[in-house]
Amino acid sequence: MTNKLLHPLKERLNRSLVLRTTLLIVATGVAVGLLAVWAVLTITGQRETERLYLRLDALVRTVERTASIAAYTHDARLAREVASGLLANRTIARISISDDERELVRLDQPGHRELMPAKALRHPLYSPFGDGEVIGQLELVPAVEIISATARESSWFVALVLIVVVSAITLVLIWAITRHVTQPIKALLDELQLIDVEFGDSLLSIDERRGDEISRLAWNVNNLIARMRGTLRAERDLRAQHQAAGQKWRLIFENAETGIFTLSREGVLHDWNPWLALTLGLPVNEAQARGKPPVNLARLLDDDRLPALVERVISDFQPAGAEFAIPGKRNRWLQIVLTPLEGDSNLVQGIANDISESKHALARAHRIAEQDALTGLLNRRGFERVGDDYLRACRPRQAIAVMLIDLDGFKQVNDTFGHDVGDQLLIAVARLLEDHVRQSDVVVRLGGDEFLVLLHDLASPEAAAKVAGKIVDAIARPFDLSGSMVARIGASVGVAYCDNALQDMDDLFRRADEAMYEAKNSGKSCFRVAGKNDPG
Amino acid sequence: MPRRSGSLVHAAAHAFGAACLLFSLAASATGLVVIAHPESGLVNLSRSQVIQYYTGRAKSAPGGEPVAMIDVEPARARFYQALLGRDVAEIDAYWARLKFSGQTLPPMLVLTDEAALERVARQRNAIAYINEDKVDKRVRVVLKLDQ
Repeated sequence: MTNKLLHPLKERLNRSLVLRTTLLIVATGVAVGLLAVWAVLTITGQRETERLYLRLDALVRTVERTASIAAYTHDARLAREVASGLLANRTIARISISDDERELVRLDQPGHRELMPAKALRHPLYSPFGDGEVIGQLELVPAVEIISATARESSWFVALVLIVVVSAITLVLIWAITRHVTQPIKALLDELQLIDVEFGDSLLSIDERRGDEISRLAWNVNNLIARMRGTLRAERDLRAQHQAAGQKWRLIFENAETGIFTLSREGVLHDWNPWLALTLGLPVNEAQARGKPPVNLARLLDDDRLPALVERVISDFQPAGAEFAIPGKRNRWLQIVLTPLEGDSNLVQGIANDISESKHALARAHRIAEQDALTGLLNRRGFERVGDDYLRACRPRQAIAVMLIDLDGFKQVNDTFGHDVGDQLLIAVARLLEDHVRQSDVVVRLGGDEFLVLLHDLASPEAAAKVAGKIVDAIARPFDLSGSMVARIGASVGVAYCDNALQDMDDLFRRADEAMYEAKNSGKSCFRVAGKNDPG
Repeated sequence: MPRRSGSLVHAAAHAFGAACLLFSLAASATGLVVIAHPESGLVNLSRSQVIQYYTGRAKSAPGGEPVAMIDVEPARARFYQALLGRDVAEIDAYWARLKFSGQTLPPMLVLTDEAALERVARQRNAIAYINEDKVDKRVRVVLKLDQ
């Protein structure tokens, strides 16, 4: 319960300077007042008591001589006179005067009730004739109750005055501090809360010219506001400029016909532009990307070369690039160039260009260059490219054979029926050759009426010879051409067999050529196999 | 018991005493003695006994009878000076306080040595002081005061 009540009070104390200051002053005032009252009560009480005792002593001294005489002459009547005179003072509870033999008189204050035991004050009485002889005693019991009551009364009066003074000072202090310090600060605070810096407000309620601390504070705040307004304006202009520039770059980034992205060392894509998103099927904007796992480019491209490329770019701190196939799209290629980022060793920047078109064009150009336009077979250049691959793969029981085929009688057909027919014939021969070898064997038109067949995966020279024989026989049959024409030609074939990779293609070619001439010289339409290590 | 007749008589006695001072000094070159009735209980008195009688502290003789002190005007100043070292004004002030109670009475005053002698001779419990050379058979010297 108390806690509940205390909590808002504490809260208010923490929030209110006025309340806190006032409470502090009041607390100090009360503390100082209590301390002062306590001190006054203690000290004044003591001093008042001492003073009363001194007065008693003085009183006794004034009657001492008469009392001495009474004791000296044993005059009880005189002693009673003295005693009753003293009792007129109410601070005396009891008085007795004795001579050297007996008590002459003993009187009590009428109506006095002894509440506290009091110590009696004893005055010796001397002989009035000066020889210092003690001839009696005056005994006096002070009325302690009355003395302390009197002392208390006067102390309380002083304390009361003190309380009034301290209270007055406290009130004046509270008024002064509230009026001159806390209230202006609160006013300042209220005004500050409502101030609109951009609108150009300033603090008005405090007179800046007054020159005290609070008005100087207001002056400083106004200055600060003015400066802040300037800064804000400058910053706004700068932001607009920045935004315009950003817009420009953003347009370039978003509309570029090329992929732009940043990539972490682990291959995770951080930022990418719409082009890359469309090309790789990534989320186009952040809204789409939200909630999806981060995209790892290496995994996306399914290519181990990418992490290596990233590592190299970071460690060499130099741009590097490579070509990658786009997954899920046939014959589409990206050339990716990565550039290290200044100041961040865990991030690279990348550009991806679609190079499919140029790659296709290149492939087409290659194909055209290596193809015989008439028959669609490989030409000599095409053979030079693929031939070596077969040669390198050859070994015993997996040998290759190069077969050179020269048509016999082609010139006459060409001369007799014209080039069109000659071309038809060449096409027919090409198809025939293709029909007599495996798909994986190579058929080449070297030029004119000269063909080449490369057989591979051969178990023995006999296998090659068998194919050669079949080819010779097939070409020797008449060809039905368009316009119900029939052409009769033949073929001279030279075969060079090879079962090790140590020979080179030129050598093999030369041996086949020689074997072919041997066949031609042997009456044509036949084949010859070159000797194994026949140098020529 | 004889009573003092009033302050006027007393004042007159003082004036007379002052006037006779010169004569007294010339006439009495001898010392003062304290005298008592020859048949009284007072025989030899000490100086302090005489002081006690003359200040009212002691009131009766050893035999129990009250002692009556007599002041003798011509030698009064001399007597108190010799006995107590006080002048008569002080002695008068002393007795003035005691007079309030009426319980202790001051000495009775006589104006001449002859009157003192006569009084002591007549009253058995009286004591007085006179010049030594005035002493006769009617009285007994109980103390000689040194000058």
